[in-house]
Amino acid sequence: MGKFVGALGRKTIRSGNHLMELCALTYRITDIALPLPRIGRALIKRVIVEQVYFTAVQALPVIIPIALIIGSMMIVQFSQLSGKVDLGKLVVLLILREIGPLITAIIVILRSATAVTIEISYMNVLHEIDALEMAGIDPFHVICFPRLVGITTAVVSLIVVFDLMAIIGGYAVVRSTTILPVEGFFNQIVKGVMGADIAVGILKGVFYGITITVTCLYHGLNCKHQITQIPVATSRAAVECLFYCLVINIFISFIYYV
Amino acid sequence: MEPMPPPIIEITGLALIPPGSTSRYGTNRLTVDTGDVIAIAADTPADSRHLLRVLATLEQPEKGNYRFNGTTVNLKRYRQCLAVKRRIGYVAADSTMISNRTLLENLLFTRFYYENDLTIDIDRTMAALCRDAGLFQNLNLRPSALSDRELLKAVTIREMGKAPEVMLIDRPENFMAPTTNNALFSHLQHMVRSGTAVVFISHNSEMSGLANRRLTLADGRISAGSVSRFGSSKQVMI
Repeated sequence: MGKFVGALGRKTIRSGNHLMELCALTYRITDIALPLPRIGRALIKRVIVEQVYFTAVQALPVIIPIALIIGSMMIVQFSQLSGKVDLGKLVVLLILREIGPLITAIIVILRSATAVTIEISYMNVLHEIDALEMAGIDPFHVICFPRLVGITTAVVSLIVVFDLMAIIGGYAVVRSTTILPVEGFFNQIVKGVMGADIAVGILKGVFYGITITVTCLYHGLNCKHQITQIPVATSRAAVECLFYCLVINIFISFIYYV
Repeated sequence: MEPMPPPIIEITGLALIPPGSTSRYGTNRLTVDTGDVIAIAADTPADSRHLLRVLATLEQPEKGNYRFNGTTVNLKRYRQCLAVKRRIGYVAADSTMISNRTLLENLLFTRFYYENDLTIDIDRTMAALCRDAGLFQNLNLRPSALSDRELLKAVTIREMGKAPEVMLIDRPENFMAPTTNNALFSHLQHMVRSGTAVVFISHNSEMSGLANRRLTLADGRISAGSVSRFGSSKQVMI
């Protein structure tokens, strides 16, 4: 029993330390970059734009079909309950508040979080970070900060795209391919959507973006010597990102809706 | 009489333990002065490379007080080290280029950052060096498209472009012939004449002969001595 409690205690301390390190990394990135120094601005802006392109624009062909499938699936199922429940309200509740942000986060983790971890790990192991340092450039400035801003912006944008595609696209798909009763769907949505629903979706996006980026950067920057550490770091980063996003999702939902 | 300028790099009370090694090297004072051309020799190449990385502030010595141009540098203060690193050129097997940028972007990366302008182009000297090194037609390629030798030449040009106060070079003979018709070597000579110090590791006797001082890591000591066999390297280089 004593051994079990000891192991549990050590695991808890390790997890606590790990969380503190993630918070410290977040603080360090934001502290050196805010307010954004004049030096290097053009380069940082370019890296941010590139990151938004890789994470958001290139993800559109993936996220749009998924949003359409999930949106039409939900509308088809809920339209079976037509007359018994408020279809628009239900769709808003599920897509805007929960499914939209979460599925978007999962897609970003699968596509970009793994890519960022691998990229940073390689840069570290192959001494590219040293090359930046030898140029007198702080890697936190030109690598970490632009990724934080780029990925966070991308996640928020993708959540908006997902929600719109799931609701409007889903409705269009159901309307054009079935004879299910979905009249008055948009009126119900307009009545059902509240400002808080949109704000919470965006807030979740911001937290997901920060969490995903910082977790990936942390694992990437910790790979220092061996290339064989990279797959392990990538896998850990992806699993951790998913777990943290789920925790953040439930946490924000509790604060706003319970 | 004008006071002597402080050494570019001065490390006092230096103690080194190269990674993976049981050897420990020490010296009371190690200096790199303006215009010095110093060859490092050690029992194992890894030990001399470690000293080169310490001089570049890429590694921290076991003990020692590092001064750059007379100013003490706290090696634990990351941002202070960055300012020093910018004034040091470092060319070694572990100095690379950013793999997801083209060669041209790599050469201009420091200027992009400090001049806050992404439209600048390489200057005439850098263009001439690239042309001579056979890199000019490869400027729009990624570093992975270059051979190891070309990559080292490109890294050397990038580091020379920083106008460093000291150049640290690991085995220059691998990518640079010590002849005046080699543009890289000629430019290095020009830099030495302008006061840049050069510290290098070489297994090539012709290259080693160009040094005016030698740092030897042996028997737990880092000893400095002037080279007399080939004459003053300043005379050779200048």
